[in-house]
Amino acid sequence: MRRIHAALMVTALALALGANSATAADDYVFDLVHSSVSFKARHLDISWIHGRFNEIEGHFSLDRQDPTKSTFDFKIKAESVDTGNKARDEHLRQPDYFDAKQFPTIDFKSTSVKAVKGGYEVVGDFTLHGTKKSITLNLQGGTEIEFRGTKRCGFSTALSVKRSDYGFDKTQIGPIGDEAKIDIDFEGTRK
Amino acid sequence: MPNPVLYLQAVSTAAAVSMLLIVTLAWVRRRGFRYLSQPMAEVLALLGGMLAGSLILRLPFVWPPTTALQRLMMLVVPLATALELAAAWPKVPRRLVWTLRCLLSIAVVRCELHGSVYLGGSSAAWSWWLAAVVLSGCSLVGIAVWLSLVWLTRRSPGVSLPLSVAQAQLCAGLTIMLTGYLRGGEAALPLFASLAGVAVAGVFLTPGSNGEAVIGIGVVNLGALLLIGHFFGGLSAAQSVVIFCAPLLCGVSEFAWAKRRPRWIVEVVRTLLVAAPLLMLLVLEKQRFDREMKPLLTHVETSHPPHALDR
Repeated sequence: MRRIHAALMVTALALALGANSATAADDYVFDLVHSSVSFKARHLDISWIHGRFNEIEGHFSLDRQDPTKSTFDFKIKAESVDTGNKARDEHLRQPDYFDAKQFPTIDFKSTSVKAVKGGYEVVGDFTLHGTKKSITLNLQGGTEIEFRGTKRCGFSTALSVKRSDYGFDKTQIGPIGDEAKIDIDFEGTRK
Repeated sequence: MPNPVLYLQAVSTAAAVSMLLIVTLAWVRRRGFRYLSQPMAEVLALLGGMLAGSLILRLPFVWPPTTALQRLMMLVVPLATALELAAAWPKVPRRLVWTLRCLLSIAVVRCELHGSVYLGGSSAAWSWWLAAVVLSGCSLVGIAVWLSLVWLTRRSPGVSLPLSVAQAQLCAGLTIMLTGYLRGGEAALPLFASLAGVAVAGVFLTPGSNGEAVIGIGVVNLGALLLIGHFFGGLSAAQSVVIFCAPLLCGVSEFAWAKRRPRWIVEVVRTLLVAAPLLMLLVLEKQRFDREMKPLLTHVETSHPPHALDR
């Protein structure tokens, strides 16, 4: 009887630990209303043109006990580019720039995560214009708050990409500079 | 940014190289090289001219090709050239040639749309039946225009036929540029120039040639370029259809009144008839460009108050 009791105890403990490890990672889905991807690129090397992508989707999973098990991924719709000028946006969607019909999304998928002061250092595959490269994002943030019954967690990061590194036609770099600076801010929600 | 000087260099080089190759290959044939037929010489001259012009424009010769333009340069042009070289071989049965041309027509449409949002598997913008309708429709139009032009080359051959395809190619290039896809438009220039070069050289050197082989390459490239312009750039379906079908106006030579006219008049009428709708289309597109796109490129007047020290 005592042996059965001990076995039950061990099983219960194992189940409890299992359940604990299953819930250790918190899964968040991007809140599109409070997430944004904006960019700026040099114009004629004298000023900056600003723009944003209006459609972004993604999710992330945070394991606070073991940050290396955390994951981040997001997709930006290239068609949703918006620089505040309809004609220029149409031009940017064409094959000389984003080639949105051929490469509809700009993707990021993490491959390794480590905790750093103030956030996480995330290494991942960044795919732009059909070219995949490994980049490192320094995500600042990660504090969770509860607002009206929904748990929220947000991050901010910035990166700089050279269009010529991502298969953009070098002969078409023209008046808009090769380098673009991208700011990414996102909030994830979970119940 | 468009570079008219570079375009002029590419066009003149492509035309000069193709004409030079026609002259050289005609000399080789006269020396008794029997295996080199006239259509083969024309195809080789066209290829040489296109290559020279494309290199000057630094068009994307990239392997593996990932964009529609790269697929045009790396797959469509070589396949069409290889097919027409094979078709120029007298011993190849005509039925086989036309079977291969039909297959190429289907393959070009599929190849150009490969990996795009239209045919992107489960997340594709088109359902499978819509994709089937569009692919077969484009292929059928391509084959119909190709067949009609070859039929015309046999009924009433003349320099106006390859020239009409060259005119359409030029119009396609300029219109695609005006719609905002500069690189796509540039790709039309070498073919236009070498096609015109081969056609003009043919008038003086090989009056007997009907130009079927070069027309074939021209039609395939024109079709592929219009597909790129429409599905990836800003070219409308109506513009694409007008440009692609414009060379069919050469069929005016089949009317009874044309049979009674001197040959040169028929040639001029054919050329002008093809040029008219293409020119009209270009003018309309230029007006749209001036209205919508030009403000992005031009200097905007500002109302700075003059500096105090300047007064």
